[in-house]
Amino acid sequence: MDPDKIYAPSDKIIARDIMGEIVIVPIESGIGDFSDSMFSFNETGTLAWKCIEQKKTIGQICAAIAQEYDSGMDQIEQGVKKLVVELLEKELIVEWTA
Amino acid sequence: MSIEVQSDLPFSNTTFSPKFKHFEINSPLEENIVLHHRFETCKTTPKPENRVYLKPPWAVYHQDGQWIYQWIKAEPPHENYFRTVVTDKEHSFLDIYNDNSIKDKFLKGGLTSLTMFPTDQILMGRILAYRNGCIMHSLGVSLDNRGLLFVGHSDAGKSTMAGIMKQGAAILCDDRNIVRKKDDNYFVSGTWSHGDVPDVSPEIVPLKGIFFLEKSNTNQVIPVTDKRHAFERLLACMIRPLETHDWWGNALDFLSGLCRQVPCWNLQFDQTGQAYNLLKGM
Repeated sequence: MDPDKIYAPSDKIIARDIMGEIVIVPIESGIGDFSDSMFSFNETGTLAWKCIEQKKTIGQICAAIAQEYDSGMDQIEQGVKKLVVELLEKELIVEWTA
Repeated sequence: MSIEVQSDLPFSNTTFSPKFKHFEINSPLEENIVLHHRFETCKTTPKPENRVYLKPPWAVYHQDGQWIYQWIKAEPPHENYFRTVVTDKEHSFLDIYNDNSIKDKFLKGGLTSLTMFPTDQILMGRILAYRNGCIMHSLGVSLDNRGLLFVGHSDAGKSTMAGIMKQGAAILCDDRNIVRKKDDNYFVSGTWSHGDVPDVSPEIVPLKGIFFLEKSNTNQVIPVTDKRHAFERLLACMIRPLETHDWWGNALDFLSGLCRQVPCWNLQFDQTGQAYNLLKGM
């Protein structure tokens, strides 16, 4: 994954910090059962999401997580890559170009 | 908050169902919503690019600082028929445009909703979202001037609990209640959309506790310490009308604040009615 790439929240979602946890609700006409489509993160995911909201690069996201958690960079990069792929698949983020 | 209904056609004593009598007041409050029934074709034409919601029978448009709600046909191209509602940005003035078939219905009287839609909760839910409020699928009661809200899935025991609480509490509503935040405090009041208990109270009382119902063979209250869990359970009971982006934003902010401020408990209760004494003593 390109470390200089930037992703941003899709305009088809709404995200809120609910009791310290990010909750994402996809906003689509005709959305049915929200409980099936609501998305929330663990602690690391919350930090990654806040970086995405700030339009940080993949490299900067990994660095931010490395500062907070005692994990190897390889493991962090794998985790971020997995998260980004999942968020793209669910159309919660989009590739961002200035 | 009061709702003032106006109409191009004259009202009679029987225009609205008697169930509204409980909630009738003589003059508007400082915070007043106007619903004006117009019996003419709406001249405001929504532009397709301004559509923010489409799920028949509703389409919602946001344009030129106004909201436009159209009652549409199920099949594409989803033509508008019978009804269009045009509101200002804050949902303070709602012009409800009705066609001739609705005119006959109005004159016949006995209307069971103020908006003349099958239920008022769609537009009311939208109005409240812009006023720090929401409608909850719940049982609301006033016990010693304390508002208590009981929530749970459809078989959780709201009707049973209504029967138990009738010993000494006023039932606000056994199906749909309005929760609002005003001056940093939360209040609960009933609605005319009741279930089995038609004799509802028009009181507005401070909301002092939210109880998640759980049928049991005992009576006890257990504090819900996981606020995030309480949030999800309340969201499941919140009436979610025409879920646009801004509606979700307002709703999530409101509910998050509600969970933080108002104590939540799991209420285990049996059929003996002792839950009433338990709650009375809290």
